Amino acid sequence: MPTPVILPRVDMDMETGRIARWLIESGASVRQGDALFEIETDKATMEIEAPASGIVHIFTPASGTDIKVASIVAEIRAPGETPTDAPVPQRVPELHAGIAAGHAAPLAEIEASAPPPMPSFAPPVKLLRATPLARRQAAIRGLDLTAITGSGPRGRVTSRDVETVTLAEPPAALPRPARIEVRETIVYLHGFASNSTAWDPLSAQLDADLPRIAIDLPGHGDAATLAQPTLAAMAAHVVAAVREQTSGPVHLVGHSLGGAIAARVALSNLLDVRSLLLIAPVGLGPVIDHDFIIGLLRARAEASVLPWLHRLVADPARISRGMVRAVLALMADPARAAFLAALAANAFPDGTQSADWMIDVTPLLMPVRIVFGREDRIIPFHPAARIGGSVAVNLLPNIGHMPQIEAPALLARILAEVIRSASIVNVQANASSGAPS
Amino acid sequence: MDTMIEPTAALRELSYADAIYEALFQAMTEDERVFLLGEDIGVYGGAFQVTRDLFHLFGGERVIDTPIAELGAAGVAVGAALAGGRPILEFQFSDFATLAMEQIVNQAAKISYMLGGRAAVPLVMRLPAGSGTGAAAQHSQSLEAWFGHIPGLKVVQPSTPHDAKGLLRAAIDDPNPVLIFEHKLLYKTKGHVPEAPYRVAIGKAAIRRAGRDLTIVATGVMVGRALEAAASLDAAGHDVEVIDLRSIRPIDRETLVASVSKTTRLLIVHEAVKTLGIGAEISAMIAESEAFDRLDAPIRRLGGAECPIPYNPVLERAAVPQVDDIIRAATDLIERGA
Repeated sequence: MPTPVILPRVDMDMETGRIARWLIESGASVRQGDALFEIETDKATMEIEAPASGIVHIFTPASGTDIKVASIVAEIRAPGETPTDAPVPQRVPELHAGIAAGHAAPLAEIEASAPPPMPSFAPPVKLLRATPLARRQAAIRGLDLTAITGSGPRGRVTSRDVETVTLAEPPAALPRPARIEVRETIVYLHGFASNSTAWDPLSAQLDADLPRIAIDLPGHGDAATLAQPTLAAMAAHVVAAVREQTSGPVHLVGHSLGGAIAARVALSNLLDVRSLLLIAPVGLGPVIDHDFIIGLLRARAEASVLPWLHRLVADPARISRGMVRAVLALMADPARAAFLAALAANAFPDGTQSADWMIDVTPLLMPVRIVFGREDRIIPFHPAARIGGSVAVNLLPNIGHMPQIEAPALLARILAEVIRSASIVNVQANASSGAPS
Repeated sequence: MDTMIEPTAALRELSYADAIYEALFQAMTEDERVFLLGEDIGVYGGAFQVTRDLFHLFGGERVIDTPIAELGAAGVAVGAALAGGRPILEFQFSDFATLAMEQIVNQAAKISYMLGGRAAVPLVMRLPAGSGTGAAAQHSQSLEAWFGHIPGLKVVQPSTPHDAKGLLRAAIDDPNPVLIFEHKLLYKTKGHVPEAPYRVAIGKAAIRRAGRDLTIVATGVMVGRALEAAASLDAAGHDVEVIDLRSIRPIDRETLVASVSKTTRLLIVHEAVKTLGIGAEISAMIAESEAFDRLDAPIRRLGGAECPIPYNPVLERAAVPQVDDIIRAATDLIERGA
């Protein structure tokens, strides 16, 4: 395998350099350590030695132009060795030039602690630079940070870069949030095997003059399925769906599985989330009624659906024929049924709420409220008691897993309070900004 | 937060020095245990004319001119505080407090602790500080971090006339030793000061300007410079939050963490020497907090240069952060992330 000759970094802050002249001709035979070319930096001119013995094939002739550090400028082949079809000049990302050029580069001698020079070409190692926020956002959305081009110093990835990646799919350049007051919107995220109409009773009771968006999660209601039945993909879908309708601040309301998604969206910082209301959310503890999930996924007739739906509520009378029909319609579509099964397997493997779907809302700064029915038979309310800090928890007596259907008036009041408290938080921030002088 | 809501007709303006005078006057009127001591604070009215005519109003027993012997004056003040008095000791320049370190650090700060809380040292120390007046190396320092390092002391740094009056009054009420660093450049600045007595809580920062792109935490005279910088940055489309730290010890961690969590970027600006300073403490505090995960750029500090404050006015300016320095650092952080 030919040994590449690269433009080494001979100075700590050197980004580019110029080949002043080649000291040998292309095709010449050299011995390891022979001077190959002169490199010119802002500060000095120095000779670069051959990292190996063999025949030199020059890719980059001497010229006044700057080339990037670590570009391959030539290669040294053993007699009879076939050339690599390397494009010229090739960029070697973040490779430590001093090492790759063998002990020829003066810097390599200074760095005595560096590993001994490698005779052959080492695979490129890219050092990941990213801010804590960018790392967190990428992790939340399941993005590969190494695939993102960083705009910060020395290629550091910032939240802006992470955001650009996801923005590339939906409409590109979103206007920067303007300083003018934008209308706040309520966004509802329903639970597993439900759909956006589940919010109608609550929304009808809500006395708030705000626009509302009830989203059908992927594979539910009118929405298509997703390739990835993951929390990250669902959250990304929600962000895109909301952005299609508003660029302003939102109040997120999530039920059950939609609760975990809502929390993930709030944590991602991708939307201007002003408050978060989580109703019987997935993600606080490992326990979930696995029989219910399995039973619902198998049910294909009213007689088999109804008993499971009854488990959702404290009072069976709350389950309407419309809800039964909706579930049956969902399960009748093989693509949707398969997606739901995959989603359930991912969210609740072996009947456990999986770690990926766990949420921690304590670092959030907006008002966060959690509501559980004390008679919830799908997800027990106990883990909610462990949530600390400024997060408030409402435990509703004689209510099951569907407070928004079982007690819509009470829930509407709670939601109105949460929304109002968000504006109080904002007013306080503004009031305290006015200097007394 | 000290949001005083008053009718606009009552928006009375006072200078920073007059606001301190008013707090002293009101406290001395209401509580006869309160008395002042310091160099030239009596007949002369104080080196910066803060105590003015208090000597004539309250007499030589309550406005005491001390000899040029800071350690002695501090000892008298600590003793008087232990004996039930409410002394307010003025160091003519904060630099001279170095002469009184034994009484401040080893006595005032520790007596309550060492006696199991059975004694208190309700001592207030006023310290005119900072550069910008051509007073040279021994009269221009910002030593607040020295005292902020000592458990048992409280250290505040008002940046407005309003806070100068309110923090001084809170310090007089406090049963523990409190040091108030008053920047000499601020004495003549004016601002709204309500006439009725009021307190500004020690340990609470103030958000002087709300913003989304960057948090600037500033102390003392740097608060005004940060606000000036923020106005320029606003014109360039950058929405900067400016926090007036106000209290060096205790530091209002909660407000700082919440702000940085919101803006994702932090710039700290103080006049005191940058190395081993308050900015380092705040920087570490944020790095150790839940705000770490929200940081989208390295934390930056602007502080005094590695030199004594020069006498030459051009060099004196260059030795401490100015508005342009703040604008440059803030722009770098927001636009380049560095």
